[in-house]
Amino acid sequence: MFEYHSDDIRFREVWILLRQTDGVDLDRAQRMLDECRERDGEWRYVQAAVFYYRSWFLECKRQLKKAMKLDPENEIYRSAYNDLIAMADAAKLEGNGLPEEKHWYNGCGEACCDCCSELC
Amino acid sequence: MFGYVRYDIPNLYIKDFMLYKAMYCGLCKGIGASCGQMARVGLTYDVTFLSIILHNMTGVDIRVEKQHCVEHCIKRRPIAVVDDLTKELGALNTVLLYFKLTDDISDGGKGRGRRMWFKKGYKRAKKAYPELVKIITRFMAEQEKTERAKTASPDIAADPTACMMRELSDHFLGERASESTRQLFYALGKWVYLIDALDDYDKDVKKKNYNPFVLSYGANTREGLMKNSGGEIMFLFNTMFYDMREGLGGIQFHFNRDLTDNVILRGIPLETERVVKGQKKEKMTQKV
Repeated sequence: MFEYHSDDIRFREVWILLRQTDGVDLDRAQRMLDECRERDGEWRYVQAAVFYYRSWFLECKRQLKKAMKLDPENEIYRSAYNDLIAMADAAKLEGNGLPEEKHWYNGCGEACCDCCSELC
Repeated sequence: MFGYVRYDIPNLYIKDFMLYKAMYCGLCKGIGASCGQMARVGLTYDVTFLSIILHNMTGVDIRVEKQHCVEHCIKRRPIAVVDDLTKELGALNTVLLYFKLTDDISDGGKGRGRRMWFKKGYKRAKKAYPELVKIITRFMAEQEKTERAKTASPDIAADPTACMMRELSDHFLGERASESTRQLFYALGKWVYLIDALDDYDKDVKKKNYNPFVLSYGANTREGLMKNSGGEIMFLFNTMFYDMREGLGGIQFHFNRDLTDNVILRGIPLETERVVKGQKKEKMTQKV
């Protein structure tokens, strides 16, 4: 979802940290980001990446929206935003446990189901 | 905080329903073994679920025997035999409840009398499982700090509880902990915190209690919150479901996983739907 795509040296070290496979030091990545005063679109994008790795997806979404607002032509920011939305949409539960189904199950009655509770 | 982690009964196999009941009763006995008989009244469905999933993940098999218990002294019932893991989870149940009651008291509510009931059990748990209690104490303090700072972001507000669940899972799983287990338990902890906050929305608005949803969105009622910001709230919960599914997919289970799948993939989203719609919590069916 997030890729190191630019030559912006401000965030090279942050991306190196985020790419580590044996435990990402997100606190250190955040400290590096905090040192940077200019909060442009790229900063927002990298901040969104740090939030993503923390599983702070709402904050990630908010940063990506700000990045897109600051740099509306940037396709990478938009692609990351769309991927995030698609990820959440894919996890939606549909068609399970409708109240009507529950009432039907309870309406089956204890008499026909008691035998099962005697099995053990 | 408690009582949200439930199964989806229409889609639950009878074998899993019987297993759940046996584990529930087994945990009750586990609480008695580690924290004393008085603490047993604090038995929760949430820690019952933890008992089920952690026994499976650690490869500790369950033995079910027909036993008597205090509440059912005439007819013996199938009960999961208490092992070391169950005893420690019994301590977890008591300590979490003790901290929850302490939190209620700090919020200006009642609970001193009820907390006294669990004090002895808490002390026993602290003596027998110092590492466990250390983890809970540390993150409960961080949670309190986050709430005192009036953190509006739901992600940041839920982080201490989510981190606590993640660290507890590492503690119980030991070498079997992985990025997937941490992903799953972080998402579970985050969900438990935020579903409670959403369910308490109207009460917290009325009593002016801390609630990250109130601070973030400012609606007067939960219904208003969902009407104005429902899309974003559901995005938040859907991402937690995503993390749970992804985590679950990467975990090796040693035994049949139908019950844990039912709770995580069906029960939790359904409970979310119930809270989002503002429906009342139903008692978990104990009879089929």
